[in-house]
Amino acid sequence: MVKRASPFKKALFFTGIFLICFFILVPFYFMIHVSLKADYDPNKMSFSDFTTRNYKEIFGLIQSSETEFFGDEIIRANLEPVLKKIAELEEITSSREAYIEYVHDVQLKEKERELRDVVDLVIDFSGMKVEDREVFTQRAMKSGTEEAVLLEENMKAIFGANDVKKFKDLRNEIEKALTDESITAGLERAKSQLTAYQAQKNKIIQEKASEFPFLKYLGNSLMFAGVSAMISLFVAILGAYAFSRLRFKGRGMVQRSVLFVYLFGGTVIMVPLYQMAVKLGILSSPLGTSIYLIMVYVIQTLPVSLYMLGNYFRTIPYSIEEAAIIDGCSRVQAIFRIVIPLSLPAIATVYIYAFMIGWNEYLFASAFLGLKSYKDLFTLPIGLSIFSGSAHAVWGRLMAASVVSAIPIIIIFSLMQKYLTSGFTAGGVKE
Amino acid sequence: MQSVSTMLKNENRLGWRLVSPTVVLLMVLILYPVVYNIYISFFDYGITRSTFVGIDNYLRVLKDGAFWKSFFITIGFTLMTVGGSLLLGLGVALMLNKEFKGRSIVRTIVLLPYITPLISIVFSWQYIFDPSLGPFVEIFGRQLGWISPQLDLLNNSNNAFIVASVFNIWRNFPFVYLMILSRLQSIPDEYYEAAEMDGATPWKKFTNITLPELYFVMGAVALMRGIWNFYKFDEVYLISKKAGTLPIFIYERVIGTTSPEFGVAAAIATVLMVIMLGLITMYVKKVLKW
Repeated sequence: MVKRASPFKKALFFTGIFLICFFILVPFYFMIHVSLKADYDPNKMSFSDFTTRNYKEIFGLIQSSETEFFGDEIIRANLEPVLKKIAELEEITSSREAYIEYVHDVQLKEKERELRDVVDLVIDFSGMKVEDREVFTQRAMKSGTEEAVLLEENMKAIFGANDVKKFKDLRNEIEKALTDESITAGLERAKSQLTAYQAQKNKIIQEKASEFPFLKYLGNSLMFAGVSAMISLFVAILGAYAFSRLRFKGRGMVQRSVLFVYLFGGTVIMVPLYQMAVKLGILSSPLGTSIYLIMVYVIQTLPVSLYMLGNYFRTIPYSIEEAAIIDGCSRVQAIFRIVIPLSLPAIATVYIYAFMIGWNEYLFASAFLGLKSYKDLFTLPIGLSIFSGSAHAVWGRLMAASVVSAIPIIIIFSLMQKYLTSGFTAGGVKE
Repeated sequence: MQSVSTMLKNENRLGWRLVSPTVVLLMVLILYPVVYNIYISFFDYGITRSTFVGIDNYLRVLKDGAFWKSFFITIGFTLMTVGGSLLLGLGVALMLNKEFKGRSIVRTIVLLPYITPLISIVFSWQYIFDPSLGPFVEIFGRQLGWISPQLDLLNNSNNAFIVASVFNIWRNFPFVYLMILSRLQSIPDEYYEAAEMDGATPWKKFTNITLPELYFVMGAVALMRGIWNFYKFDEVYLISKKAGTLPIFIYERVIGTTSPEFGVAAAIATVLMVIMLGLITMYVKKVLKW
């Protein structure tokens, strides 16, 4: 169309093209650039050496670079207090005698000191006249003695009722500490504490090993997007065939409501969908959650699939089908033997679209999986998004993961560009 | 030999059988939730029990300054993104409708933002605007000094939606471009030839032929993008959790909190839905002409 273009206009035109390409490609440039740099040094503001270690790492070929970089220090610092506590607890829970000894030697002494401090405080502050302070304190610490009654009365004058009660509780505890019941209960408590600490220790060690399970997220995303696109495609083939070929009462109405859903969005129905799942108890099991999430993806991808497939089916001449039906094919057989083989490119296109919607989805995945913390089911969007906010986040690894998750889609797209772009304009794409 | 009426009846039955999965899914996962959402919005909805509060939730929402702020951010976001992607899409479509060397490569490049998975590209955008490492602040802040080097565009609730808008325009203008390009390609060349014979300038040709031909498709695309961007969640939230549009406002009240307010969230969702229904009705009446 550029006929008598002057050099100036031509230069302007190509500058425009260049600027647009620049605007489009800048984020891709940084994505690849950063993914090839190692940035484990939190204080390093500029990156220097190119490396492929980010890629190796997200595929699990090399492990925990933080250990390499910082040494074991961080993990040791996290683990040390826990290990110390575990050793302590193991010692005192090894036998009943050991525990009694611990209560007698350590716990009781601490509590007695605490009680003595309170008594001292009361004596000093209330201005009580005490002849022999040591004897008085000793006796006041036992309940029921004259001195104890006197002390309590003075205490009420300077402390709140709550503190007085705490004092009495502490005194009771000390007096009952060596009885059978309290030893048994205490031992139980210590044992459960021990299990809790051991769980914490395992968690620290495990987190270190799997701080970024990229491959697991990738697999989950493939599973959710793949299965939901499959179901959506199957339902859409049947529905689109009915829309494009069959006359039935209410067809217009159903078609219109599908188009309506095409424009309708996820945020609006998030609260009720979540509440429905909670009321039905679906979210209590990982399997139920997975199925529910897949069904929600199906309903989100269904309108596009129906719309695009319906448009395509209308371009297939009915006479081909008619011939098959005259030859004794049933209508349903005609769908599977004639219509589907003839529209394979369109079906592939629709599948890719449906797949991409599931692949990009964040809202429902985070609502259903995130709240219950089904970490094993996390999809790439929530996995990466949570990882990006965690302490282990490193730009290099994030970008490497981004590149890896983008490449298959871009390759598929460039191979099928012709079909896909016509699909865009045929139905537009819901997101 | 079957009679015509039994054939029609059979067709009717088969038709319904084939669309029944679609209809069931629509009923269970769209229609029922929409009704249920309106129901929830009239209750103080807890996990164990719920009490009917009438329109209290709506009153609370309408009196809430944070809601109105979020509401206007959403309107601003929608207007900016629709306007921006429409202008950029139109410009690119006009340029790429001309023939030049390397056009097919540029046409592929232009589609990249739209087809790249969202999750792959958001981190790159976050990195660009990152306050400590990002090249944006590095170049415009520390080297050129045009903006404050301490500027944090992503985590500031006052301007995070601007970054989200730019990202949204970047990501969605290829969609507009494709729709406009396919319309441009169907304008017959004779129109332009006739205009040239009458001595029309390029600008005259654009305003008198191209624009009227594109008017309809641009309106349709603007409405469609407007509807989608109005309730857009993923693209906004993943760029910045502080962008503060209404979908994020709802999300923060249900998922991102320890004491979820389902009733209030449902009330906001209902308000959102009413506005969307208005836009959709407009789309249906003007574009689809039902």
